[in-house]
Order: sequence, then C-alpha cells, then structure tokens
Amino acid sequence: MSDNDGPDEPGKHDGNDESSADPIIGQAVGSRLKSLFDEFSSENVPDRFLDLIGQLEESEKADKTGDDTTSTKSADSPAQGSDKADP
Amino acid sequence: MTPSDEVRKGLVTAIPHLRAFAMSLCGRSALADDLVQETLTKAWAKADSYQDGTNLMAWLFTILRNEFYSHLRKRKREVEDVDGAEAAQLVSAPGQMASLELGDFRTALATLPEDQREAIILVGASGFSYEEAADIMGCAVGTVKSRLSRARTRLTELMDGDVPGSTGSV
Repeated sequence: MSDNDGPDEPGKHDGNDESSADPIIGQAVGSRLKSLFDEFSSENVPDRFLDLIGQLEESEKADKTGDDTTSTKSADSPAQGSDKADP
Repeated sequence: MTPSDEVRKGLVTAIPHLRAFAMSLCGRSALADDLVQETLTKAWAKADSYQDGTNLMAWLFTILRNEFYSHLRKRKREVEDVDGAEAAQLVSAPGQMASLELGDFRTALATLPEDQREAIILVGASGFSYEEAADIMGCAVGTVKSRLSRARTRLTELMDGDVPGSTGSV
C-alpha cells in the first residue's frame, strides 16, 4: 500500500526513525519495533481479504438485514467458506 | 448499516496495518489472519457506529484488539494450558539474547505480558499517540505510559542480556 493512504494511517513516523523515537520506548527498542511492523505490513495481502470485502459488498446488496449480530454471522460464514473452496 | 465510502476505502487501506498488528500480537499465524478477517467483518457490520472523519484506523485496531482478547478468553476457558504451551513455543532460546536480531526481537516481544505488548506495538510500531492507544486499550493515558515503560525495561533487559549485573538473568 502507498504511504498516502489516508489521514488516519498509523506509522506516520516511519521513514525518520532516528528523530522520532518515542521518549518512553527509546531508540533501540523503537527502531526494532518499527522494523518488525514494517516487515509485517509490507507483506502481500492475501486474496481472502479482498475477496471478503467483495463478498460483504455483495451480501449487502443481496439482503439488507437489520440486526448487527445476525449480519455479522451471515456475512462471515460465506466468506470463510469461499476462502478455502472456490466456486 | 451501509458503510460509507470512507469506511470501504479505509478497510482496504487498513488491511496491511491490521495484519501487522495482529501478527505483532500473536505471531505470523492463521490466528492473525483470522483476527483480521473477523475485524473486517465486524467493522462492516458495525459501520454505523463509526463516525466519518474520526480516526478510522484506531477504530479498526480497537475492534481487532477486542477480537484478540475475546479469543484469548475463549481459549483460556477451553484449554487452560494452551497459553503456556504457545508461549514456550515462541520463546525458543531464552539463553541467547545477547544481541537481538529481528527474529529474536520478535521472540522477546512475545515474552511480554499482553497489555505491555499491545501498548508498545500501538505506540512504538503503529504510531498511535498515547491518547489514541489509551482509547484503543480502554485505559488511562498514565496506564499506557507505565505499560510502555515496563515493556521497554523488559525488552532492553532481553537485548542487553549480557550487561554486568544481569548475567544469566534471562
């Protein structure tokens, strides 16, 4: 993902590790934390997540249930099913 | 009910960060990706509880964090010993902490209590402010700071495992 994803994006002090170490955490620990986090966040996003978003959009169009918990369940199950077994 | 465009775009944008947060909390694992999946699904379902223009990333991190803890609680009820077993797996070589490479740092991170680990990840890695982290963790700012401080002390001990006075202490 790009560095300009949005105003709320965390990790805004990435890139100038030297100057922006948190005073409590300190430079030594802070730079390792950022390296670790950068390593994780730069990994390719598995298709399952983009598929999931697509499915949520579709299920929303298909049926508009009013209940939060019900819709969580109903949106969740087909997503997990299709994760492994593609139609 | 229907997520706004801001939330839709934000969800996609947030995925790498949510994964990184999840993996920092519980290692690179199927659980991490399950937490992300749960988070995205929940966020979609609860989109109406998010106020456009507020901190979407913090909102999403809060959901993921709550999922993580509810998973821990569930698992503790199911199998009392699993936590210990997993921690033991993560902490493979506690005697060799003299100079920590990234992999070792990950191991060291895994030895922290959960509340300290999430605090230091939120502030030190994800770049949230103390206030945002306090919000996400549902605690006071002072608590965030003390968790950070204890986490730093512990990680520093692990990184400097061979300094005088602490020989063999880890």
